[in-house]
Amino acid sequence: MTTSPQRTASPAGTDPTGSPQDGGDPTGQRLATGRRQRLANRVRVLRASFRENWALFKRNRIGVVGLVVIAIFAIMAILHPILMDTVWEPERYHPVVGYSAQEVELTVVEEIENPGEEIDLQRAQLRHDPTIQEGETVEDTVQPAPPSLDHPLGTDPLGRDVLSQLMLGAQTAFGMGAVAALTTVIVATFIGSVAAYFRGWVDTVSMRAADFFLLLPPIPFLIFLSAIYDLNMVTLGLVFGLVSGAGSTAIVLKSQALTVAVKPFIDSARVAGASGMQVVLRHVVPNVLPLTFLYMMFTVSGAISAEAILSTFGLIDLPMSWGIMIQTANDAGYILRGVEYWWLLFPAGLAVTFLSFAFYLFGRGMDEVVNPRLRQR
Amino acid sequence: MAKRLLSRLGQLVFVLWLLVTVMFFVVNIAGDPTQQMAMDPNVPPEARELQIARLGLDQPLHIQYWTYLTGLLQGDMGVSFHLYPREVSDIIVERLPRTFGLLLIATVVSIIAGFAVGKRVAWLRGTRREHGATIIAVFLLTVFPVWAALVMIWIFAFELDWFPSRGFITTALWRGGPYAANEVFIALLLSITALMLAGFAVFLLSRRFDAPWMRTVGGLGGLALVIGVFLLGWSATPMAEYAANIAYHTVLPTLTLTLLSFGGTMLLTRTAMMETMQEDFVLTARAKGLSERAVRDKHVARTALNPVVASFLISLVTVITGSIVFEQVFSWPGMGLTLLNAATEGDVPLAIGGIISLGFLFMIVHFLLDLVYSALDPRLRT
Repeated sequence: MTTSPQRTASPAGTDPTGSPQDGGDPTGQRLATGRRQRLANRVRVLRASFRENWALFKRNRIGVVGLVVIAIFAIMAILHPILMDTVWEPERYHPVVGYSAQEVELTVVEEIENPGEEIDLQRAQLRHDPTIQEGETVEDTVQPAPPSLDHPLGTDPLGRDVLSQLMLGAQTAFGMGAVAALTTVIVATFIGSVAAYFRGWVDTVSMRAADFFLLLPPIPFLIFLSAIYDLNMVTLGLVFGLVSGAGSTAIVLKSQALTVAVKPFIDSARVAGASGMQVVLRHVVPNVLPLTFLYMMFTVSGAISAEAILSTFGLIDLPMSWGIMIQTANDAGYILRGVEYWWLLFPAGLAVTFLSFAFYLFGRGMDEVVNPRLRQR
Repeated sequence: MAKRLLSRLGQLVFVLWLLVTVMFFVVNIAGDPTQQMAMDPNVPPEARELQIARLGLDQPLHIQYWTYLTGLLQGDMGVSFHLYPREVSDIIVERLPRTFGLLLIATVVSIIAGFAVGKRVAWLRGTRREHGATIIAVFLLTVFPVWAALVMIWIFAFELDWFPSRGFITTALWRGGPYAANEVFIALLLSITALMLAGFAVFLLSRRFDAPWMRTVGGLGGLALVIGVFLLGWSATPMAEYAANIAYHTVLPTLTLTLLSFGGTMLLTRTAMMETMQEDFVLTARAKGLSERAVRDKHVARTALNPVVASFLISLVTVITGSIVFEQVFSWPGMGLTLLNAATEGDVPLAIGGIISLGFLFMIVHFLLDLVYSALDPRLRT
């Protein structure tokens, strides 16, 4: 990370010109020893580097846009259980088993004797019912109901609230993304650091394995797995994270870790008597972590898309997701009607697109912080 | 160079073996794959026993693996459960060329277009047009492919009614016709490959002219000539009507796949260009008084081409994924649709065959890219 060297070099409390905006300079605790002091130091450095990086990140508006979109979806995901508990009755608003069809009153105008002729489909909505006379009003239900005050995004072909489904879908997407991201970070950082530090056969084996995972695109592999195993959100995230973490991300991180592993402080640590794993965990890993978080964003972007693709084809065991919403609407034939049923066409498809778009933009914004070569001179 | 490529080929064969091995064990550790058949009332128990005996499922796992591996080397991958009497290898031979064709056209078109647009966009850095183009490219890269395909069908097949929404051929036309669909498709694929090579040759030849306007005229004229010969040649053969029918069905999936992979290549080019633009030799080129266009095309773009080709493998993943999705949505029977159906039906031999053949395809493209890369990077030309 880019921290100014003077600040990292001077321990807290001994720097009389300590920048006032840091504010956390504990003069009263100057006598506090060892651990606490080090911790305070670390927090100060972290805060300073965070502020600096935040300023860099903010300059590039693309990343901020990504962050805002992610925040909006996160709020939707968090709000869903709260709304279900308070305002929305489960019978009407439950995303999977709820039912709420909009009721309309229709006036019977005429009975068509010979339906073989041209019928005005906008008007002729009732089946033949001998008990109903002309001029009476009957109640009918509209099932993909257009947006109303009750259902801000209308209902789907089975009479379920689209907004509620969209919010639960956001939960699924974030859950899957989090599992995949964590797996990628752990696997890639570990493989990359160990391979770069120990070299030799560890390096050879892990890089051939990375070649293998590169040759194995995650989505075809997940489709293949679903032939035999029942996939759910967690296993899907684990597999996706493993494929991307042990494959392309591990290769990138290894090359980054290689530049760290030849630095003098690594030799110092080794001379001071640190064991191999200690050096890797305490000195190599922290220095490649920023880059891991960058690649994690691209993994999340891919994972969200993968989850949506697999759930569209019905290959995952999930109650509701954005992919399932599209599948439901498409099976009933409403997607191809286009903008006429826009509340079935746009919300789910655009949610997948925007969320993975946002993670990509966020990653790009971070890229400019982590990778100084990309900054505009 | 030959030595490097040979070792690369060796590595790829090793990785392919690894792929076969891992796929085999991932599936077979789960137990008897014919359990699905036991639940299907249409499959008599004898048929299941026949399958068990044929696949050697009553034997220990390592012997099964050996049987599968030796069978694979002889081109025998077992019999599909779902499309019952057909051999897996037979299905793959029929359908892999289709996916290959889809990938080839989409890849070549998107890499040419993506590079051409990306280098211009990078030159406009900081302007509103650059932001607009970048946002569109990121949208294309991250758009949900299933949804994109459905929207394409809605626009082009329903609203405009230009292309059919699904299928590979119009069955009514082919019934009783003199050709098999695959025969025509392979002829089409070969001729398109030839067309692309000829186009590339024209491009190289046209760059030998000194005057810029001669280059443009020569390039465009040569391209028009090659395309004209291609179209005339096809219309002279009796297959023309059938080939046109296949092409008509293939346009929409190919177009969608091309659009989606275009975004990735464009962004890649843009980033590579921006990294190269910071180099000192660009400053030197400018200081020499070269025109902006010469600096862009001859100094920056040529250098940026190497990282673009090198990291192309990553965007190939997008294309392969896209081909699976689009084959499903457009009901276009290639290898991706076959893999997807095999997965839904629990058809284990076909699923293994499908993923191995996709891996094989991936490997070939990877190797070809390596060839291109060694030709492009002077450090590797020894």
